[in-house]
Amino acid sequence: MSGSTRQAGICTELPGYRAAVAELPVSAALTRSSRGAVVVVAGTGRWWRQALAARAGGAAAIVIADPRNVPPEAQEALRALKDIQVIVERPRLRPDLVADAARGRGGVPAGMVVVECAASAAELDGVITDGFAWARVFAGGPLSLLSGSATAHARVALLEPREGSGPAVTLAANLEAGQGRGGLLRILALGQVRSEVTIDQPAGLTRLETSTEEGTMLAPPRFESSARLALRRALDAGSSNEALSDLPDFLDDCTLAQDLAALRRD
Amino acid sequence: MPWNVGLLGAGPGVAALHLATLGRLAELFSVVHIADAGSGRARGLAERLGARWSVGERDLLADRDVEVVAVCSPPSEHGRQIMAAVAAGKRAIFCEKPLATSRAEADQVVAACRAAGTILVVGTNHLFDASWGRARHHLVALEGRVQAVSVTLALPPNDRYHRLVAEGGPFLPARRERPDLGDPAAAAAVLRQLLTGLAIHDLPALRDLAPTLEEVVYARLVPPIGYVVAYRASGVLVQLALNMIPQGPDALWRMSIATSRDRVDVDFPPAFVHAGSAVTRVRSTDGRLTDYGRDPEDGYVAEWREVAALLEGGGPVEYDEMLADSHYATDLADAASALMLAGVRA
Repeated sequence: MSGSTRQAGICTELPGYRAAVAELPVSAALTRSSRGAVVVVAGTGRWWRQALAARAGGAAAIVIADPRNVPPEAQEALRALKDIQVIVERPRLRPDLVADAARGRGGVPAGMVVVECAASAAELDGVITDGFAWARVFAGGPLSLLSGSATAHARVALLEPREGSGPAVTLAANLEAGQGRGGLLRILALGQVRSEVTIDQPAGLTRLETSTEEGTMLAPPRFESSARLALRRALDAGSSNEALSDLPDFLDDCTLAQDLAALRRD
Repeated sequence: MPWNVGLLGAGPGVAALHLATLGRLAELFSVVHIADAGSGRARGLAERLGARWSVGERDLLADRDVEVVAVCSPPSEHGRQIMAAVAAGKRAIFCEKPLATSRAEADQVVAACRAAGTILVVGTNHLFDASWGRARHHLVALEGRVQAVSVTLALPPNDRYHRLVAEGGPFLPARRERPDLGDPAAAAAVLRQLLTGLAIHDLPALRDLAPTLEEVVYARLVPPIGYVVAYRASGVLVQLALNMIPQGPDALWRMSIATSRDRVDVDFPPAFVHAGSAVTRVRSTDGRLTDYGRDPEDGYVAEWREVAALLEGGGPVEYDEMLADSHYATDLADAASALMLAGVRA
């Protein structure tokens, strides 16, 4: 906390997060010191080193902003980050949208999950990682890769819940030409309730439809920035004893994406 | 004068689909004879139309008024009935998909039709859907390389749609014994049936996009009734998913074609209904979205118009294409069921 107010210190140089702090004038304020602050780490480059350094520097919580993949050798150290709240901001996996999707299903399990991904070479692994995350959400738990195949331009995968019964999950990913601005992610959770999530970053489109026999409900758009939502979660986590699962979930999703990427390519 | 049609089969495909479709094309076709395999359903259907009815195919094929034979029986009967219709000298045969249950049977029936000059059309209605033609044109025009295709089906029971195009049901298929899916051979046979009965709608289109089957990557039945199958053909990865549900939202039937430049989504309307063509959306990598309008006519109507056009000398019968489509379907179904029997590859 900073000064005599109840504002939490936010240590960040990222423009999106500085804007988010400006949108939280009562509960947050920028600070240059990481000690006791929420430290925002850009999820580019070797971001895990900065995350570990923030913990060593006395951060109260860490936000990892839109991380790309993480190499297997860094996973062990990151999994050891249990004594600090870590929020992983994944713009394609907004917690409010995830909550809308779960609420729409009303507890009706999916019978099958179909994931489609498309992105440029630089973005595809990240989009697939988030595709696996949505599949995990709809499957109700961690997944195992059963089978898959890859060409130079596309991948397919079959997954199932790691434990117990649950829906079959199938994923198809496509490499697009150009540099792109994010990618396309579409998830269909099929069954007596059908959820369809479309996140098309180049088109600026996020859409959640929930269909039943009665018709289709379109979830309202979320106007809060992903960064502000992440900061709010960090502030809430500071007053909670409940450990967030953002980081272990993200690492699990990355592992699946790496397993798929390691498949034979013809 | 309309062409006289005799229908072999009196199940839901006739009662709720072909009679209703032919009723839209009264200037082109007239139903004069319906035959069942002993269910007694043909009489009820035929009487309403003032048509004749019979049991088995012999009387219908001997009926000199019947010019066009529509083979709408179970798939295991198709090959034999086509051969019988050719032998009876019928002018044209419309065969519901699948054309045949094996490569050899497909070879035989296509060779017989070709030798006799019998017109043959297979009822792959999605292939006749104007929207698929538009999507294919788009793919060719933009020269994008097809890299992956995903076909997703989520289907409620058909009788929801039967009720919208017919009356006097119930339109239930003949009751069959439920297979023991715990028996690997029975489960593999069910997968084969689902691929040749449902995936078949899109397999001719998939053959256009990815003609040479290389490998089935995985194949699995998914309860209560469904499958997930992936295969590689001509360097393209294809994912097929089916989820059949006892109740729930309206049908989803979507083919999504991913190229290096675009993604083309083709959303087909539910089976049986006449709600126009599929709807096509093209997404470019820069985020541009282009929606194409729905054509007023669906693939069911279009496939019968094709029969009429061929009867009127409107072009060559595509024997080679139908044969290749049939081979593609049986090869895929055989490979997928064999892989399932062998266990999902790790």
